[in-house]
Amino acid sequence: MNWIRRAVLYNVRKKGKTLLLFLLLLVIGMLLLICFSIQRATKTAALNVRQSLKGAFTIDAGASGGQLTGEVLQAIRQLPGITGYNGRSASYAEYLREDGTPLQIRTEGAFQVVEGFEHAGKVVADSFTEKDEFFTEKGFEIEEGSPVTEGGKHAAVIHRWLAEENDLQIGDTILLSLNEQMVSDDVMTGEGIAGKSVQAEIKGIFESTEPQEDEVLLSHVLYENTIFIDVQSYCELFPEGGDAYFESADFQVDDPEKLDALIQQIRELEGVSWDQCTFTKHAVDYENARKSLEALEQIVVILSLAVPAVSAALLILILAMRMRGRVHETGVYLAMGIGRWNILLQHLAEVCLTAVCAFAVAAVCSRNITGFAGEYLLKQAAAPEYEAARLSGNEQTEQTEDPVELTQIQAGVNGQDILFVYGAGTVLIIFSVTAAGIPVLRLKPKEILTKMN
Amino acid sequence: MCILELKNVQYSYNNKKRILKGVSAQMEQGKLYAILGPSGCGKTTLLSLLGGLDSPGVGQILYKGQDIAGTGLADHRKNHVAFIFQSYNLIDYLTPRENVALTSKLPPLPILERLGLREEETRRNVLKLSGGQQQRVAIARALASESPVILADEPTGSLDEDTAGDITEILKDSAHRMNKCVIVVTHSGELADQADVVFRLKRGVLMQNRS
Repeated sequence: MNWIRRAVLYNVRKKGKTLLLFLLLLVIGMLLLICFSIQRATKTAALNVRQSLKGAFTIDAGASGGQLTGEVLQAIRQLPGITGYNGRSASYAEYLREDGTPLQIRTEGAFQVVEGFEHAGKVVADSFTEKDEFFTEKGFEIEEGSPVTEGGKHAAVIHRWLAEENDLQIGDTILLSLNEQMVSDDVMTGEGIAGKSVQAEIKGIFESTEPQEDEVLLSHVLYENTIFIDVQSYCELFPEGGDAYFESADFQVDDPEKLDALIQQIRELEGVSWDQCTFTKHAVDYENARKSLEALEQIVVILSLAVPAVSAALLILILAMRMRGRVHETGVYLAMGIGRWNILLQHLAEVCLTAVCAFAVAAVCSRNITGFAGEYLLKQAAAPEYEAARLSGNEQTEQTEDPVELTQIQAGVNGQDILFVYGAGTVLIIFSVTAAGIPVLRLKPKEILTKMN
Repeated sequence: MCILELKNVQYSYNNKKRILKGVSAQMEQGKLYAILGPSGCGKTTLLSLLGGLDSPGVGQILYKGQDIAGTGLADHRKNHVAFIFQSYNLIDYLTPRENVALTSKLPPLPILERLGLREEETRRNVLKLSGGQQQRVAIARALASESPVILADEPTGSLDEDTAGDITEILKDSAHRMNKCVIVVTHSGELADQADVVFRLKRGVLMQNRS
C-alpha cells in the first residue's frame, strides 16, 4: 500500500483528528487571506489619502530666467505622476482702451503712484489662470466669463473694480503697453521694447475675496490693478528668447510621496541649469499625515509577519502532538521495513490533503468576511457625506459626491492571494511536518518499539 | 539450509550492562525455533537484532551468509523478516485486509480466511476484533509479506489457552508447510514443546536445549 493511499485512509478514518487539523488550517488560511486583504486595502487607502492630500512643487527660474521654456515645461509634463501644471510670468504694463485712451486704475489705499505707472498694473501670464497662486492661495475667484487656459490667445481676465470703473465688459478689447519709464525703471531689462503693445480681449472678470496684506503698496501692485493674460500675449509683449518662457512653474503630482523622486528626475533633464533654479515642495498636509500612514503600514507589516510566524508555531505544535500520538504506528511501519521518507510523505500528504480543502473553504469565507468588512468600512468612510447630504436635504449629493476614490479601497480576496496562500501554506506545512516528524523519525525502530511497549 | 546466523553477537545497553555475551547460533528454513529465558535476560533484544531493528555492538548477523549491516537494516526488515508482536501492533485506522495489504501485493482475503477470519470480519476496524483475531491478522500480515523469516515476540502472551493453542498451530504450520523460518520468543512451555529447536538464553549466553 503506497503512502498516498495510507494518507487518504488516515484522513477518512480519523475524522476527529482530521477535523481538528482542518479547523486549524482553515483559521490559518483565513488569517493569511484577511491579512493580505488588509495589507492591500491599507496600501490603497494610504494612496487615496496621499492623492486626496495632493502634493505640488514650484520651480523658480530666478536669475536663470529664460531657461524655463515651454519645451522644458512640456518635457516635465510628460513625466509620470505629474497631473497638472501652470507656467507663470509677471511684469508691469500700461493699460489702454482700444482707442488708445488710458484706463483708470485704483490708487486709493496705495502708498505711492510711481511716475510712468499712473495707468499701469501688474500683468500676470499663466498657462491656466485658475492655477495661479492668486486664485489658489489669495482668494481670487472668477465671477464672470471664463479663465485663460492653455492655448488662449490675446485673452485677459480683469478685476471687477477695474471693469466697473472703466465700464468694461466681457468681449471688450484693451491694450497692454510698455512705456519708457517702465523699461528704464529696471523692471524690464530688454532694450527697444518701449512703446510695444499687445491687444487682449476681456474673457473673464474676477473678484478678490481677501484683503491685500502687503506692507508697502504701490498703486501698480494693487489687486484691483492686476490683469491676467495668456502666455502668447505675454511673449508678444516681452519677446525675449524667442520662445514662451516662464519665471516660475507650479506642478501638481498625483502622489506627494513621489515629490522627491520627481524633482530628482527633473534635475536630470538636460538643457537647463537646474542649480540656478529653486525647487519648493508644497505638501504640508501630506507631511502631517505621513507619520500616521507610516505607523498604520508598519502595524500591517508586523501583522503580516506575525500571522505566518504564529501560524507556523501553532502548526508545528499541533503536528508534534499528533506525531507523538503516532509513535506506535511509526514504529510498526519501520519494523515492517517501510522507509522513513515514506512515512514522512504520508504525514505530509495527510496535512496537504486537509489543507487543500481548508484553504478552499478559507478562500470562500475570507471573500465574504473581507467583502462585508470592506463594505462596512466604505460606509463608515462615506458616512459624513451621507449625513451632510441628509441635513442639507440634497439627496442627490449622496450619489454624486465623488465616490471614485472611496470605491478604490477594495478589501477583498483575489486569485493571487489564494494562490499565494496555497504556495505559502505548502511551504509552511512541509516545514512544520518535517520539524514535527524528524525527532520521532530519528529514533531507532527498537527505541520506538521499546517506548511503545 | 542455514538462513540466519548469529556470530559472536554481543550487546550492551549504553555500553554498560552487557546483555548478550557472544551469542552464536544458526537457524534454518522450515523450522520453528523457540527462545526461552527469564524476564529481562535479553530475549526481545536478540529478536530485535535478528530483525534488524537494532545492530549489535560486536559480532555479526548473517542472512544467507551476508552481514545484514552491510546490506542495510531497513532492506533486511523490508525483504527478509516479518514481525509478530505480543501486542499485535496493528494499524488502528486500517481494516484487517488493509493491514495485510500494507507490505504485500497478494490478495489479503484468502490468507485471512485461511487463518480463520470470516469475510465480514476482514472489513471491520481491527480494534473491534478479539485479541485472538487481532493476532491472526498480525500473523496474516507477516505471512503475506512473503518474508522467509518470521520473528514472533510472545505471540501468545495475551491470549487465552485455546486461542494460544490455535496460534501455536498456525506458526508451526507456517514453518513446516510454508517453509518459513519461524523464531518465537516465549515464556510458554506449551509453545516451546511444539518447537523444533529450543534455545535458552541465560546470563547473556544462548544455549541449545533441544533439537
